[in-house]
Amino acid sequence: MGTDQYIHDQTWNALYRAIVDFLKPYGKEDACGNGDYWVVEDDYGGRRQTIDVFNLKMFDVEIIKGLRRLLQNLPGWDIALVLDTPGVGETIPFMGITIRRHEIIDGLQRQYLPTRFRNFEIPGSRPGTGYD
Amino acid sequence: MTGLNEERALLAELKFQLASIVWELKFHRMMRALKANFNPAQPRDERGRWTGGQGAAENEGVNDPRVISDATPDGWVSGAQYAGNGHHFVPRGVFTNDKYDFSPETTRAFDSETTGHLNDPSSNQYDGVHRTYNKAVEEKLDQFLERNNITSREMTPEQAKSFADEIKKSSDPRIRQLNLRIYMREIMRGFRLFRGRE
Repeated sequence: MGTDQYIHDQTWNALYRAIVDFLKPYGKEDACGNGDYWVVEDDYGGRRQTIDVFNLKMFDVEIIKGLRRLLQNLPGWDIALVLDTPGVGETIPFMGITIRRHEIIDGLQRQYLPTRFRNFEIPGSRPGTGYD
Repeated sequence: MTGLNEERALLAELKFQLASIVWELKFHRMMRALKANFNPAQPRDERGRWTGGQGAAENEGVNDPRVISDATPDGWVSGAQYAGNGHHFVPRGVFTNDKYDFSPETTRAFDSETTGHLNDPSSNQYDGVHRTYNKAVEEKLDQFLERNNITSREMTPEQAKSFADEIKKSSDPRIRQLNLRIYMREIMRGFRLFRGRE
């Protein structure tokens, strides 16, 4: 294993643990959707962590700010909060929020969310997509 | 239907890319042969090197320090240096579920069943949802335990590997779709790299 890969693995694992610990007080983690979220344990090779969100309450400004703080010393890394509820990828498009040290990309298409979440705003975010 | 259409589109793209690569390879092989004045009848050793005549590598022996050794070092385990995270065929979130009580050895066996390091994160960060995959794997795991008439505690590391193999080969669309997408991305990345070198 090369040095770059070693550093990547160490960073990836440290960030994964930090996210798991940070989110504990905010909800129940469950891989099969029987909870509020799941921190994806697969490393697809990018400088990225993904959190599958089963309960919309996880799209919370305090959570987003806290996750962003975890990236304070990790430029180039991002955390994606990805909506994973029934119908996503079928009648509901893939969408979510990308958090980076220097920016937050809001890719949530409000028209697909329940009424009470349609006015949800993330201070300092910019609109975007999963391709940004 | 969306998933099926996506798979069909990916397969068609893959088929096209494969066909064009095969033709490119044939073309380059032919050009190389013409350029190098290749003569298949020329005497060669078991490694394909010339054994006589002008240009034969007379001084290049197996112990030649100028040549990187291809000997297998002691203690080397095939593939071990590439063992990494990648995609877990049996998600940790499933086999560490409180309803199971796997032995540490079996847990390690599950944990080692990954694709190895991957290098192509999705272009769309939001399209890799896992809930359906994980749920399907959990169902299959319950069925496996029932079929083999064992409790999770009795499951051996060999059985864990055998179960992981079932998941790799599974035709259940909930499982196949995610695995296929991951493989396709890696293959397509390979194509892009290959093309970039030409």
